[in-house]
Order: sequence, then C-alpha cells, then structure tokens
Amino acid sequence: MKAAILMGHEGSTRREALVQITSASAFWLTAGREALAGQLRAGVVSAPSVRPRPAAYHPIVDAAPSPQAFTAAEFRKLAALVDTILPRTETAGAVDAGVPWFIDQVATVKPAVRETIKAGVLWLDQHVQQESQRSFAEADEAARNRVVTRISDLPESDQESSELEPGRKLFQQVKLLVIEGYFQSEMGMMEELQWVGNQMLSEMPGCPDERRWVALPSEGAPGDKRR
Amino acid sequence: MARQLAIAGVNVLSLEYGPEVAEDDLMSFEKYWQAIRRLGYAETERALHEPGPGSWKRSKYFVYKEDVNYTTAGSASWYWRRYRCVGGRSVFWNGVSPRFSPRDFRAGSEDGFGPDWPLTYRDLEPYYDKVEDLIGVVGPLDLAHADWPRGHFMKPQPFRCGERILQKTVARLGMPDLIYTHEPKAIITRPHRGRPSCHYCGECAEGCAVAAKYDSSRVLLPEAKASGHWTLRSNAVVAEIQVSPAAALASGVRWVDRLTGKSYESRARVVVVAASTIATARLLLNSKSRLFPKGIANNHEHVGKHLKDHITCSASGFLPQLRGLKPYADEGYTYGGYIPRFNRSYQKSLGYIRGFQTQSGSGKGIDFRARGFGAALKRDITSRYESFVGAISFGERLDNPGNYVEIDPSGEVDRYGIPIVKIHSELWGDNERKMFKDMQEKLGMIFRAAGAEDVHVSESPPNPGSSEHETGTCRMGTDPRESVTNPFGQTHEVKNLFISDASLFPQQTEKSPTLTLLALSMRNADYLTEELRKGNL
Repeated sequence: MKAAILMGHEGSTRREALVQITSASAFWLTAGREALAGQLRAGVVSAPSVRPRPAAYHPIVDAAPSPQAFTAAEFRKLAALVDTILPRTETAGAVDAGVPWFIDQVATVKPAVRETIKAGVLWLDQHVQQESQRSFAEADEAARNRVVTRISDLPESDQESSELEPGRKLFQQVKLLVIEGYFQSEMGMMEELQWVGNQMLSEMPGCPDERRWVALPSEGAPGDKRR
Repeated sequence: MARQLAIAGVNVLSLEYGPEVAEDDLMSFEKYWQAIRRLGYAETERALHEPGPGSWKRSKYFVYKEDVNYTTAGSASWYWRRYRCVGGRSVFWNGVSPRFSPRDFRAGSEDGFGPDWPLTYRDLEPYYDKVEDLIGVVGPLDLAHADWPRGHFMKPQPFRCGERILQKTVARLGMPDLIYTHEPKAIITRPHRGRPSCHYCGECAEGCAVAAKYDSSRVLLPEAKASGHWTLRSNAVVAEIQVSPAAALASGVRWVDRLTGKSYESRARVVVVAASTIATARLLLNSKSRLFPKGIANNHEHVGKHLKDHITCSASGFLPQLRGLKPYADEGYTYGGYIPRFNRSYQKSLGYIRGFQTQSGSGKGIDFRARGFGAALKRDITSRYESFVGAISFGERLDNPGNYVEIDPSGEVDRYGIPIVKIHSELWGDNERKMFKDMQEKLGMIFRAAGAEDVHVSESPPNPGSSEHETGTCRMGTDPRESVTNPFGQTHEVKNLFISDASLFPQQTEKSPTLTLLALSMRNADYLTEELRKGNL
C-alpha cells in the first residue's frame, strides 16, 4: 500500500497519489463500520453508543467479545465515564471511537491502571447512588456530570485517605487515556480534528495568512482592530 | 569513508552488523490506530517509551537492551540508543546539519578547558563545502551569525505560523546574537543528484524511503556500489581487530555472521572502524594482543575515555493566537526553526562555559493538560490542534572523568560471545547544572514572550545518551600520549588502523555532530588514499 503511494509521488501526479491515499482510507472505512457493529452487538457499551451511527472512520481498537481487564459491570461504568469525559457531539465521541476497549487493552498490560480504574468505578457508583439511587452507568447525564465535576482536575491530595482520592485518581487516569485513545483514533483524527496529513506535496504550504495569524501578545489578539 | 575510498579506486569491504533496510519496513505513514492493530498495544507502547526507539515505526532495526546487553554505572544511567542496519542511525536521524564555527575548534584555548581540535575551521571548510554539495542541506540563505558559518544551503521550507510567531518574538527580545532562523537540515527541497525533492510528509525521522533526507545507505552507498570497488557484507558482527605479531599493524578482523553464528576472518591492508562512538571503543578495547594488552591503540589508555554527549532541555506550549486555525498539511520536514548559540554576551555572569543551540518547530499538537471534561474539553483540544509550539535545546556536556566506557569487568558476553561494555556516566557537573538552568530560563522567556499557554519546560535533563549525540571515546590530537589518533583519524600506535566516526571529537560543542563527522570522514579518506598511493600503508 505504502509503496504504491510512493510510486505515485515519484512517477505520477500528486493527484494520483492522493487518489491512492483515499483508497487506502476506504479500507479503514469498511473495517470501522464492522468494528462498531461488533461493539454494539457485544452490548457492553453505555447508552449513548447504542444509537446507530454511520461510522465513517475506524475506532482506535476493535471491540472484543468481552473485556479482559474488567467485569462487564465495571466496563459499563468505565464506558459511561469515558462518554462523560468526551461525549459525542456533532462528531464521534470517545465511546464511538472504541476508547473503552482501548483502555481495556491498556489495563490488561498495566496492572496499576487496572487497579486505579477498578477502585475508581466502585467509588463512582457509591457517590452517584447517594443522590440518584442508580449506578453510574444508569444515571442521567446531569447526575454523572455532577459527580465527575467533583473529581475533575483536582490537585494531588496531601492525604491518601481523602474521601475523593479514588475518584481523583480515576479521573486523572481515564482522562489521559481518553485523550490518548480518542485523538489517535482515525475517527478522532479525521472527523474531530480534521487532520489532513501524510500528503505528498510539491511545495510546503507556509502559514496560510500571516497578517491574520502572526501576532505577538501586545499586538492584540488576531483580528483585533486595535492593532 | 567507504564511498570516498571506493570512488578513488580503493577496494573496500564494508562489514555491517545489521541487515539492509527493506523499503517496505519503513512504516513512515502508519498511524497509531494502525500500529496498535498490527503490533498490539504492549508492543506499540514498548517502542514509544524509553528504552525504546521512540516510535514503533523504527522498532525492527532497534536494538533493545535485552537483545544485546550493556551495563551502566555512575549517578546517571546512560541510555545507549542503538540501531543496527546498513546506514545505521542516518536512516532515522532528523538531519540537523550546522557547521561548527571557527571558535568551536579552539574552544579549549579560549576558556582553558580541554584540548583544542587538532585542526582548524579552515582545514575543514573545503570538506564542509563538498559534503553539503554532495548530500544537499537546507538552511537560511541570509545567515550572518558569529557562531555559525553559512553553508552551501538550498532554499528552506517556509515557516509555519507558530515558527513565524517565535521568530518575531525572538527578534523583539533584542538580545545580542539571538536569532530564530531556518534550521540547517540535510534535506533537499529540489531534485539533487538523482534524488527527488522533499514531499513534506513530516516523517523524516521514521526513515525517508525516497532519500530526500540524507541517509548514507540511500545517498552515498549506491555511489560506492557503482564504483565497482565496494563490497558489502551485512549481518556481520565484528568481534575483534587482529594484529600481525611481526609488526604493530592490524592484519584484519574476525567477525561473526549474525544469522548463522559462524565465525569468519577478513584480511586487509587498512582497517577503518566507524561503528559509532561506544561500539568503536568496545571493538578496540576487545582487541587485545601481546602488543596491545589493554586493547588495540590503547597503550596510553585513552580509548573509551572522554565520553560526551549533549544535555537537553525541552519546552512546549500552545499559542492562543492560533486558536481556531484550521488544520492544514503543514507536516513539512520536522522542526523548521533554529536558534544558534547566543550566550556569549552574558554567560560569564552565570559562571559557566560553552553554549547551547535550540531546535524548534510548530504545528499540530494535542494538549494533554487541557482542563475539564465534556464537550468543552473536546472543543478546547480541537481548537488548539494547530497551535502547538516546541523547542529543544542541546547544550555541550564537558569532559568528565566519570564518563567513560570499559569492557564490563563481570566478563558478560553477548550472544555472539563478544564481551559487553559498561558505560559510566554522571548526570551533570557544576557547569551542566548552571547551563541547564540557563536553558530553562531562556526557553521559558521566549515562550512567555510569545504568549504561549500550558507551557511545559523540562525540570531536569533526560538520561545522558538520550540526545544520541555521543562523541569522544577515541579523540584525535597531535600528542600520542593524550589522544588515540592523529588529526586524520589514523591511530598513533597502529598506522594502518583508522577511526572514522564521532568518537574522534576532542570537544563536543553544542552543535549536532553529523555534518562535521561527514566532513571529517571525507578529509580522512583523502589522507588515507594519499598514504596508500605513496606506499606508506
């Protein structure tokens, strides 16, 4: 596949090279759709992803028949947290992009990650149940957001015994993996970030509009009339 | 060296530890989501983090410590990054190619620390010219800087938005010698000697299959091959240099076939060692004989000593000015910006000697430090995707008696039966500590002045060795008691044994070593050819 693209660069026009890159993406397009279907069939992802969605791009990893590092119940809660941290908007969310399955793979290799998440989702449930009588996976969006707000970006606590500690650690760990998994998935890169890279160009495009973008702090914000 | 000798008509046999690089193994365009399927999460991650190659794309040619061990001692654990393939690290380097300045060659007599180079800038200048013309180097066409002579440059790629912002920022700071300009890189921006121009894909360090980035296996060795005087034997692990008992001369080498384990001997009139700084020292130290009980050319015990590399400090951030800039194909060649050494005017007041240079770039980045969660987090990261700026400073690490290579006294051998090395290294001395603090401050100053957010500056330097710029274990000089080779890479003790890699450097300087090492090799090859012609070898 790659050799064909390079030949396109050397021996033919850039347009042909681009066509070949596009056909490479078509492969992932098909694979992505199948992966998502598998994930839905597995039935272990949280509510937001059950809505059918046309999958244009590939998730970060494919769904497995069942999670390896977690119980099905733990995995449902993890997926709900992943969804809360990076939801579907007009573009794919982290659950669409297979991030819970990615985290399952990470936790299988790294025991510390697995322990943090196991302890953390237990904590999540206890806290969400105090207000809504439901588990975190079944709670509504507002209830989930309230709990996650309490543990979002907390500074490292002095005392390990802090009541919020398992939640703080959980959030910190899962958020990092969500960002890593989502923004490195094809869905995240193509759909959300609108990445256009790995092109073969005859000229490197410089800054597209220096007058608009190249400003120093005291010169005011870009487009600022006071400049 | 091999190319120079072969085109001069000298018959050359090159013995290379690794295999030839197959073009299909250069996974330049593979994305993470593809790698994780091909290799699995564990293997992909192993490649990404130390002690890995930093990218799964290069792992096939990377040597992990478990594969061939080395041991470390001292306050810092040296990280020896090894690639084994025809072309070696040049396949996976970034291409940064500044000339050393005239003052770099006499730094020792300027500040009293260590020896001068046994040659001057004038001696090497014609070879810098020739090497640049041969391999192609981009750089600032209008360069005028006290610490960095202008080379024969090709037109560089234009600056990205963030690089332009840093350039303006640096100009406004108005410090003497402080400029932000185009990075000198061994990359071609127009067709050159049968190679196509750069296609700006952003994957330079993953191996450039079209050789728009200089890579010895794709740029120089084909010319050696075409000469009809060059033979390559890959997968050949050289175990020792043999000595003819009659005279203090190298008679050839003993080597092991990496795939079959079988031993071979090759005879030669001249032996040239260019195995990279640490491996070259290992080979010399392992070549013991009655005449050279401490290793060949080591009767004055300088082989393996004076190990140096660069101390690095990096900075990253996001420019709010660029929030909302729509992603475009700005991958280009990696890191387009360069800040040459600028500390001469003030460093005395900070109490340290020598300098640092800074390589810098901008473009796409994911802000892992973004706050919050939910749709707002997603929007925030996406809107700043095209606003990343980064920089890494490389500072000269001074010669320190605690930094050296020896054969591991434990007697441990690798899988080919060859004794392994122990690398001794100290994290830093007083000079490095002060220089590092200055690097942190200056990077912070520049990033703050540019208005960057979420700025992160290294808190301490990474392990020695991770700059991959190690030099100095067979330093050259005029005094046989103080150096291993003469100014032409010929060992003082064995006249038909030559060294031709960065182990020759008597001083590190802050600049990236490869261009100078190429110029030096070319000069040494001319000398060697002439000595052969005169019948001196």
